[in-house]
Order: sequence, then C-alpha cells, then structure tokens
Amino acid sequence: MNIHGKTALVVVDFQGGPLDGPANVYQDTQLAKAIAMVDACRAKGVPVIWIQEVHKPHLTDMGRELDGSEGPHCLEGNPATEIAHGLVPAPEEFHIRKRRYSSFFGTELDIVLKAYDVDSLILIGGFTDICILYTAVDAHQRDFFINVVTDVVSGSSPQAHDDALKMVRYLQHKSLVTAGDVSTWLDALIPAA
Amino acid sequence: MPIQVTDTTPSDQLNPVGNVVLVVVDIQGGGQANPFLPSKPGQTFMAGREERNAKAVELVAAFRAKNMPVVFIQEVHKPSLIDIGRELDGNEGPHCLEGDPRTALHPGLDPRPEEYLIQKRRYSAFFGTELDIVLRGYQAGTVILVGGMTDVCIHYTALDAHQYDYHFRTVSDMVVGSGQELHDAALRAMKYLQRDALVSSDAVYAWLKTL
Repeated sequence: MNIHGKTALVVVDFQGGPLDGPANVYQDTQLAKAIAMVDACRAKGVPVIWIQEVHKPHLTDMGRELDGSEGPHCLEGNPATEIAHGLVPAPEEFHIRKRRYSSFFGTELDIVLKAYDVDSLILIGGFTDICILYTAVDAHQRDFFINVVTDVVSGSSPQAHDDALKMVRYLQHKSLVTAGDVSTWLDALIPAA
Repeated sequence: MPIQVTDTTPSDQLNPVGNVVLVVVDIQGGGQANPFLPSKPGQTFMAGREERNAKAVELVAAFRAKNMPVVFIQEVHKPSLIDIGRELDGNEGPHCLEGDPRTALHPGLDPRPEEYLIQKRRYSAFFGTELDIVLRGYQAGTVILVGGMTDVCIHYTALDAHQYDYHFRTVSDMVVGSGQELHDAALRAMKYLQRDALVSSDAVYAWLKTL
C-alpha cells in the first residue's frame, strides 16, 4: 500500500445498475470485492466517497466526449447509469456527480478530501484508462498518494487497461495494489475513535 | 464497449475547429548537450529531442510569419523542491530546477514580448496556471501540441484541453516520450479522447499555407 496519513476510498463510476447489459464491464467477482471493500472501510472509519458520471439526455454537457471512441453514455434516467446494484451510498457519505473524466474536474471532490483531511486515496471502478487514470493524475497533481486496486478496476479494452496501469505506476511506483493488499491493510487498521 | 485504438498513424489533414493556438510544451534543455539523461534506476529514455527541437523552432517561425498565436509552457521547480509535489514518487528524479541552464527553453524558442510564457509546477499545462484564460483570450477552438513528454505533460495537457472542451491536435512527429512504450500508449490514449487528435507536422504546414 501507498498510504501516508489518513485515507479515503473513492469509488469511481462503478455504474451499470443491474450490470446485465452488453455494455457492462464489471465482473461479478469485481462487484463482490467492491462491496466487501466498502463494508470493511466503513467498519474501520475509512471514508467512502462515491463518484458517478452523468450527462443530460440532451447532451449539452457532453463536451468533446463524443469526438473520440465513446458514444453517448451515462445518461440521466437510464438504469445503466445507476451505481451498480449492491453498492449503496450511505446518507452520510458524499455522492458526487461529474460530467467529465477526472473526478476532480468541476466537482467538490477536493473540498471533500480536505474536509476528511486525507492524504491517500484508494481508487476502484472504471474505466482504468479513463476516469481512474485521469482521477489518479489529478490526485497526483494535488499531492495525494494514490492506490489503484488493479483487480477492482476495468478498462475500455485490455490493452488500454494495461497501458493505464503503467502510466499510473510512472506517477507513483507504489501506486498499484490489489484487493488483498487493501484487506490486509484494513485488518491491521485501528478503527477511528 | 468503446472502440479500442490500435492505429496511431497521424492524419495529413489538420482539420482545425475555430481559432488555432500553438502550445509549445516543455521544450527545454537550454541547448545543453544531453540535458535529460535518466536519473533513476529503471528510468527509460527516448531519443529524438534534437530533431524535434529544430522542428519546433521552424514551426514557431512559421506561425509567427502568419501572425498566429504561440504559447510557451515551461516546467520549473524551486531547487528546494518544496513545489515538487509527488513528482519524485515515480519514474522521475528532480527536474527543471530554476537557475539550472537545462531548465531554460531551447534556444530559438524565446517568447516575444507579445507572446505568453507560462511557467508550471505540475504536469498539465492547465494545472495552477493561466493557460485557460489565455486560450479564451485568443478565442481558441483548437490547440496544437508539440513538445514533451508525450506520455506525461503532453498527454495530461491534452486531457485538460479535452475536458475544457477544446479540440486538440498532437503533432506526433514533434513529441518525445519518456520511452517508446509509454509514448505509443499515450498516442493511443489521446486518439481515444479525440479521433482527430494525431496529426503530422506536414498537416500543420499544409494548413498554414492556406492562411
């Protein structure tokens, strides 16, 4: 683990609602690991922050996101835009909607992290090569220590996933961890008073 | 699933949208011999800076000849490293120290009084800088990126340009990466963001001729 000071778990775009459509990118095992990690973090007082990408169906807020490989996505009101069923933000947790790739871009995430006084982030969700990578880059530029959980992130393609993990490691050599590493770290953590 | 990018052949057409600004990212070294050799174990290196630097001097002259805006970006850090952030936690050692002759822009890339020179302390040229304000001033629709490194400051500047709704064009024969593997990966990533992102320097010159 690449942990200094306090830590938050940031669940980035773990969406797809029932995870049953052809566009689903998360394996059942990844959902199960995410649910277990959220529960374990709550039990130890590690704050959980939820990020959800959303766009209006009229696409006014789409920016340049249709100029590349992606089509319209994360439309408000579409069941597949919901956070994956089984992952449920608690009322006291922050649930941040974003309209760009980085979770910091045009959002309150930086304020929320300051409020929690955290220095380290654990990132799970997707795509590895888009919202995870670009959230990690912005976290890096804001001086946070990054932990990307390599078995609980999913890429837009296997190649892009592998490329992105190399890019994250370029930023911080200790930044690639597994769900097992997180579990071991949490087990040893003394719950916050 | 989105379309996977496998072909990074640059386009010979610039196809700009709106006003164009050339952004010269971190072409530094101050003309010193071998200014950027690996400083950490395992650090990779990609050749091609000298050729790229010479092409950048030519391209800047061509933009000026057409009265087109050029913005210069320069990464700097205090020798005390107080502003280095997490940049020593990965592949890079201390770099771009103020006062070090290697931190100066490449000779021939001296900004004119009417041009912007923007110093930055992070990878993205937008992060903690006035770049977005400057581009708005020029009413830019498209930014052209040259410089380095492809997989770090070019990629993450392109990302922020994308997120600020600019069209971006990376001149793929005028960017140099931290190594061939990540250079190639970053070209794929940028084309994922915008399918028209990768262009050749010939494309830029062909467009300049039409002005």
